[in-house]
Amino acid sequence: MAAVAELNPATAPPAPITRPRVVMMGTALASGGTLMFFAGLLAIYLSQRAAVVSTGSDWLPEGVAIPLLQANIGFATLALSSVTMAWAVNAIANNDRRNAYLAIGTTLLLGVAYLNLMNYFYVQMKWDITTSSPAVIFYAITTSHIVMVVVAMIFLGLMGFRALGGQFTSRQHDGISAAALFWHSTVAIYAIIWFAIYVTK
Amino acid sequence: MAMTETRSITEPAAPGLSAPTRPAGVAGLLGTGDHTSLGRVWLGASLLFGLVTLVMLGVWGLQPMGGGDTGVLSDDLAFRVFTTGRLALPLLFVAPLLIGLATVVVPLQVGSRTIAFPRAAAAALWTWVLSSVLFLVATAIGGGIGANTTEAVDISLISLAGVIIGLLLASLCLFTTVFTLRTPGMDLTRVPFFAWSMVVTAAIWMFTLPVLLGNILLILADHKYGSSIDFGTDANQWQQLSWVVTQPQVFVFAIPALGIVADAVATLARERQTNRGLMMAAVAGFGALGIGAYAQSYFVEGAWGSWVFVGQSAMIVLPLLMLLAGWITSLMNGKTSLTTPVIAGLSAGAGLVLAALFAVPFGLKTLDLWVPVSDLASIPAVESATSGLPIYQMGLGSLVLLAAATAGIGGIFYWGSKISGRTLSEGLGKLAGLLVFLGALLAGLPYLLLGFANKASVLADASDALSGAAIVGTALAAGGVVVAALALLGKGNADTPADPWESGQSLEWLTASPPAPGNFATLDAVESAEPLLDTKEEA
Repeated sequence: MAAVAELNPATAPPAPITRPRVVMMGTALASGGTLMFFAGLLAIYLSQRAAVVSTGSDWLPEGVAIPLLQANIGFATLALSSVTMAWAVNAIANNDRRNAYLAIGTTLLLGVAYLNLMNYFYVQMKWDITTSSPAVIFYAITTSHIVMVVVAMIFLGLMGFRALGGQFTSRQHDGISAAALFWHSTVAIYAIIWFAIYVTK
Repeated sequence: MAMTETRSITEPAAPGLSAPTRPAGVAGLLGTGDHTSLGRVWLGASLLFGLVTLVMLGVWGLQPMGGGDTGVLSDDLAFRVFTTGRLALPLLFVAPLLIGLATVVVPLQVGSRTIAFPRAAAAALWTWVLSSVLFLVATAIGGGIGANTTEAVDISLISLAGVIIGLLLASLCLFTTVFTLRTPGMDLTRVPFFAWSMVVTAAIWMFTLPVLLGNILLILADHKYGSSIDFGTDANQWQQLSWVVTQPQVFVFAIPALGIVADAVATLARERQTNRGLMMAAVAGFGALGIGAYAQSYFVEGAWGSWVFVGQSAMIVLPLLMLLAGWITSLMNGKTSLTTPVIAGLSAGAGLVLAALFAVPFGLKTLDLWVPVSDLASIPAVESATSGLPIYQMGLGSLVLLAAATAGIGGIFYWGSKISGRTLSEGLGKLAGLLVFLGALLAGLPYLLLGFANKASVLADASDALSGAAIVGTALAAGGVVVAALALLGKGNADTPADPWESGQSLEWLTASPPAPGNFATLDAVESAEPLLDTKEEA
C-alpha cells in the first residue's frame, strides 16, 4: 500500500527539475560558428577559383594534382566514424557501457586514421604553400579542418573519460551527445570540403 | 512576485553547476568563474582600452592637418595607428563593454545562480584581455594590420584572432545562460530585453565573426608561410578586414545597446512595455539586417551594389524606429524621471537612428560615396592613407559605435548598484553620457559630410574644420570614458538596496547589491516578463 501512496499524484512531491541541456546548447552554437568559419573560407576559395577559371587559366599550378583517392578514403573514414559515434550515443542511452567504450574508442581510432591519411595526402600532393595564393587558401581550409578533427577528438576523449568515471547514464548523457554533435559537424564540414575542393577541383 | 504554489526552487537551476564563490585577491580573481567579478574586469579593461583607442584615433585625426610625413606621425605609423584604432573601437572597447555588462547582469535577469560554463567565461575574459594587450603592444613595436615589420604583423594577426575568440566564447556563455538556465516560468518571450538582445547578439556574432577569423587566418597563412603575393601583402591586409567596421556589419556591435535602453526605459518609466513581442522582434530584425560578412568588397566586386546590401541599407532604420516609438510611448505613459540611463539610452537610440538614416544613401551607387579617402583629391586635409575605406564609412562606424558606447555608459549607471554595490553619481553619469554622445556626433558626422565632398565643393573647402570637429569629438568621447571610469572607482553610498530605482521589473532587482555569490537563495517560478511588478501589484 505504501507504494500506491507514493504514486498518488495528490501526495507525490513535484517532479524534479530536469537538467537543462547546457553542454548541448553551447556545442550547437560553437558548431554553427565553426560552420560559418569554413563557409567564409570556402566562399573565398570558390569565388577565386571561378574568377581564375573564367579567364581560361588553370586553377591549380602545373605539376600539382589533388589526388581524389585519398580524399575519398578520408570521406569514407569520417563517414564511418559518424556511424560509430551514433553507436556510442545509442549505447550510453541504453546504459550499455561496454559498447559505449568500444564505440568511443573506435571513433577515436578512425579519427587518428584520418589524420594519418591527411598527412599522406599532403605528401602525395606536393603543393608548396609558397607557390601561389590558391595553395594558401587550400592549406588554410584543410589544415583548419584537421585542427577541428583534433579538437573533436579531445572533446570526445574527455567525455569518454567522464563516461569511464561513471558520470553519464541513460537519463543524462549530454556530454556524449554534445561530443557527438560536434563530431557530426566535423564530418559534415569535411563532406562539403570534399565536394567543393577535392571532387570539383 | 507572482508564484506558483507547488514549485519552489531551492536548488541551482542547473544542479551540475556549483555556484562560484566571490574571489579574494589577484590570484582569486585570476581563477574565478564568478560572473560578477568577471563582468567587472570586462568593464574596467574595456574602458581602459577604449581610452587608449580613442586617444589613438584622435592622434590619427591630427595627422591629416600636417599632411604626410610632415605631420604628427609618419605615413607608416599613421596607417598602423589608423587600422589598429578602427579595429580596436568595436573589438577592444564597445563589444567588450557591452559583454561586461551582460556578464554581470544577464545571469541575474534570468534568475540563474551562475553563468553557463563559468570556466569558459573566465577563459574568454583572459583570452580577450591578453590578446588585446598583445594587439596594442604589437602596434607599438612596428606591427598592426598592413605594417611592414613581419614578426610584429604576425603577432598583431594572432592577437586579433585571440580577441575575436574571446568575444565569441563570452557571447556563447551568455547565449547558453539565457537558453538553458532560465528560472522556471520564464519562457523566451518573458526574458528581459537585455538578455534577449544578448541572445540575438551571440547568434549574429557567431554567424559573422568566424568569417572574420577566416580572413585573419588567410592573411596570416600567406604572410607567415606563403609568398605574400595576395592575401598577406601589406597593402591588401586591411582591405580584407575592413568590412567588419563598415555597414551593415558595424551595426551588430550595437545590438546589446538596444536591450539596455529597452530595460532602462521600461523600469524608469515605471510602466510595462507595451507591444513587447513586437519590440523583441525589432531587436532580432535589427540584428538580422546587420549581417554583413558577405559584403567583402575586396573579394566580391560589386558587393556594395547588390540588392541585398541596398535592401539592408534601406531597411535597417525600420526596427530602430519601431523601438524608438515603443520607448517614447512608455516614457509618455509613465512617470519618468530624467536619470542617466534614460538620457543616455534615448541619446544612443537617436544616434543609432541617425546612423541608420545615413546608411541609406551609401547603398545608392549614383551618389558616389564609395570612393576611398585617398581618391578624394578635393580634400587636401584628409590625406592619411586609409587603404580603401570610404571616409563615409569612417564617419558611420564612429557614430554607430560611440552611440552604442553611450548606451553602455547608461547601462553602467543603470546597473551600477549590481556592478559596484554602490549607487553611482547621477551627476557624473549625465556628464559621461553627454560627453560620449556628443563625441559620437562630432566624431561621426563630419566624416559623413566629407563623404559628399565630391558632390559639394563647399564641403571640401570646409574639410579642415570638419576634420578638427572629428578630433574634438574623439576627445570628448575619451573624456566621457574617463568620467565613467572615475564614477565606477569613486566612493558612494555603500548601503545600497536591492532595487535602488524602486521600480525594478526583472529579477536582477530582487537580489542584493552587489549580488551575493550564488545570486539567489530561493526563487519562485515567474508568470510574466515583469515578475517584480506582479509582486507589487499583488501586494
